[in-house]
Amino acid sequence: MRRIRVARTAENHGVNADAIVQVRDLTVDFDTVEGRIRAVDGISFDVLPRRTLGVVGESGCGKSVTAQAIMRIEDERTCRLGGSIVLRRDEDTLDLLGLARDSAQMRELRGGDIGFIFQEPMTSFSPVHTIGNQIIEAVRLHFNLGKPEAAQRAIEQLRDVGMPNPEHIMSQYAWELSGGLRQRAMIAMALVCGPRLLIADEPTTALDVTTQAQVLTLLAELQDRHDMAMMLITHDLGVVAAAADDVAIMYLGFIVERGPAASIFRDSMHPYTQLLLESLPSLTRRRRGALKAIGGTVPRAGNRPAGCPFHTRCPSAIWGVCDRILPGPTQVAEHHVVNCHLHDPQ
Amino acid sequence: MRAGKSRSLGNFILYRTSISVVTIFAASVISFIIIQLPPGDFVSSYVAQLSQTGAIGSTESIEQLRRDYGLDQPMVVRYLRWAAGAIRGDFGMSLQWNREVSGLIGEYMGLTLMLAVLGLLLAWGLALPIGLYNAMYRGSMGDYAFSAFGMIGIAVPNFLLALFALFIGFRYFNADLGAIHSPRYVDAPWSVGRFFDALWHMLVPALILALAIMSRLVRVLRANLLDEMSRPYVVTARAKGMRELTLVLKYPLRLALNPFVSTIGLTLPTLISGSIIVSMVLNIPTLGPLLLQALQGQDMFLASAILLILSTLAVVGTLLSDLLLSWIDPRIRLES
Ligand SMILES: Nc1ncnc2c1ncn2[C@@H]1O[C@H](COP(=O)(O)OP(=O)(O)OP(=O)(O)O)[C@@H](O)[C@H]1O
Ligand code: SF4
Ligand SMILES: [Mg+2]
Repeated sequence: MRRIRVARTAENHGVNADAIVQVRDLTVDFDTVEGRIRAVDGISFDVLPRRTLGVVGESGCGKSVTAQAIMRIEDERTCRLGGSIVLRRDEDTLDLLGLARDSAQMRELRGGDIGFIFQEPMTSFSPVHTIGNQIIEAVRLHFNLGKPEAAQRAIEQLRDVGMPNPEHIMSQYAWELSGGLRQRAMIAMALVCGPRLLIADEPTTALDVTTQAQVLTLLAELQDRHDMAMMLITHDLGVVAAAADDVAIMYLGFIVERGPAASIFRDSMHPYTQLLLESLPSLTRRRRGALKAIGGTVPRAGNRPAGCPFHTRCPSAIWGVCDRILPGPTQVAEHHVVNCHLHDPQ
Repeated sequence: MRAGKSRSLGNFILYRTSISVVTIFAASVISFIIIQLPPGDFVSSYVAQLSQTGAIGSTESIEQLRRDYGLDQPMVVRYLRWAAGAIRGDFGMSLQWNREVSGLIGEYMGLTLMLAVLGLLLAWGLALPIGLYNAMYRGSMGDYAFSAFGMIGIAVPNFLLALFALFIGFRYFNADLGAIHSPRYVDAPWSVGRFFDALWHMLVPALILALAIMSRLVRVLRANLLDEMSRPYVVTARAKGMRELTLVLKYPLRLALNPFVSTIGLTLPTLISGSIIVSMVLNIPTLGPLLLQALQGQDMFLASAILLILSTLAVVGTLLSDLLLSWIDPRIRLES
C-alpha cells in the first residue's frame, strides 16, 4: 500500500489556534526509591472544541498521569511536571503548569472548567456521604448558591444524565446503586458545573459490556448537548473507534501516533498502531484486553529502552537506527503525526 | 430493599442494646465467680484479722456469721440473691467499712467518672489535631517531634509519670497533686463551685492518664488518615476544586475516625484501670484504690459491686462507640 508522505516540518504539532487545551512537551517525572522515573516523556497534543480525543495505550503508558497533570491533581510530593499545558477560556488563556497546585485559580478550573470522570465510580464516591451531598458540594464550590438551589441544580443534572428518580438518588449512597447508575451519578457530578472540557479516565472499564455501550452513548449525547470537548482515556481501541474524533496512541510515556480518527483507522502509520488494529477483531464486536495480543511485554517506565521505545517489540525495527535514535514527529497527513523512523524522511 | 433509614437505625440500636444487656449479665456472673475464687472467704480473713488482735471468735459464732452472710448456701443461690439486690441498687454490706456498699460506691463514683471522662476528653481533644497535623505534614519536623514525644508517652508507665509529676509539684510549685479539693471545699457538700474546683485539680492526673492513650490514638489516626488520603474519593473531591484542608476534614478524617471511634469502648476500661495506679500514687479517692483494698480484704460484696460497675462502664462505652460509629458510617447499620 502506497502512502502519501508529507514533508516533516520543524514545529510540527499541528496548528489549532482554537484548541481548548494545548499540551506541549509535557514531561511527568516521579521521585521514587529507585530514583527519578520519567512516566511521560515530552508529549504534545490538542483537545479541540466539541471533539473527543481518544487516548489509547497499554497499562502503565502514562494515560492517567497525563490526565492528572491537566487537572493538576498530581501527587505533589513525588511528581514533577515539565513543558506546558495551556487552557483557553472565553475570558483568558492560562498556562496550568504556571499555577500553584492549591491556588484559587487552579481550584476554580478544577471541577469548574474541567470535569473529571474516574474509572471506578464505587471507590470514587465517599462511602459515608450521600450522592446528593457530594454533588451539592460540587455545585457550591463553583457557584454562589444556597443549599436548596444547589440541590435543585444537582437533581436537574441527575435527570440530564438519564437517572431514574433523581430526587431519591440524592439521598442514597454510592454503594446502594448499580454500577451503571453509579457511573451516571459520577458523570452528573462532573458535569454539574458546566465544564468546557470533560476528562474521562477509563469511564467504562469497570462496567459490564451492555452498560459500557450505554455510558458511551450517554457521553456522546451529553457532549453534543453541552458543547463540550472530551478527552476519553481507554486501553480499548474499540471504544476509541466508536467514540473518538481524534486519536492519540501512547506507548511508554510517548505519543507514537496521533491524528483524526478517520485518518488513523484508515491509514495507520506506526507499527504499534497497526498491530493494535490487527488485534481488533472488528470494530463492532470487540474483545477486551485485545492489546495483550501483541508479542513481548511492555518494559517498565524505569528502564525504558534507548532509541524508539517500541523497538523491543517492533517487527519492522531497523537495527542500528531504531535502537539508538529516538524518532521525531513526522506529519503524514493533515493533523496526522507519527513518530517512527520508517516514516522519517531523513 | 431499604425500609427507611430511621427504622434500620432503630433496629440497630435495639439489637446492640440487647447484646449489651446479655454482656452485662455475663460480666456479673464472672465478677461474682472471680470474687469467690480465692481460698477461704471474707469471714476467714475477718477471723484472721480478729485473731491478730487477740479477739478470737468461737467456732459457733464464725458459723453464725457465715449463715448471716449466706455463705453456707450454694453458689447459684448466693449469686441470685446478690444479683436480685444489685438490680435494686442494693449491693449488700461492706464488711471492711461496715457500711452499705451502694453508699460507699456512690461517694467514690463521682471522682472516678470525672477522672475517666476528663482523661478521655483530653486524650481525644489532643489526639485529633496532632494526628491530623502529622498526617497532613508527614515527614515534617513537627511530625517527627510529635511522634518522638508519642513514643515516650507510650513507653513511660503512667505511675512513673505520676511520681514525676508529684515530685515536680512538691518541689517547684509546693502543690499536692493528690489534693483534689481546695481547702475551703474539702468538707463542703457538692456544688457547682466544688465541681469546677475538683475538675481543675484533676487536670494534671487526667493528663497523666491521657498521655499514653493519646499517643496511641495519634498513631492510629495518623496511619488511618494516610490510608484514607490515598483513596480515589479523595482525588474526586480534589478534582471538584476543594481546598486541601476542607477536603481532608470532610472526607479522610470522617472515615479515619471509624476505627478511632470504635476504640472508645476499649479506652474507657483502660482509663479506669490506669486510674487505679495513678490514683494510688497520687492518693486520689476513686474506685480504683477502693477496689484494691476490697480485694485485699476479700470484701466480697464491695469488690464484686465495683467489678460489676467497671465492666458495665466498659460495655456501655462499647455500646456508645458502636452507636456513634453507626451514625458516622451508614454501612455499619446494614451489615447487621
Ligand atoms: N505516584 C506514582 N509514583 C511513581 N510512579 C508512578 C506514580 N503514578 C504513576 N506512576 C508511573 O507512571 C506510569 C504511568 O502510570 P499511569 O497510571 O498514567 O498509567 P496508565 O496509562 O493510566 O495505565 P492504566 O491503564 O493501568 O491506568 C506507570 O509506569 C507508573 O508506574
Ligand atoms: S522507529 Fe523503528 S522500532 Fe520504532 S516503531 Fe518505527 S520501525 Fe519500529
Ligand atoms: Mg490509568
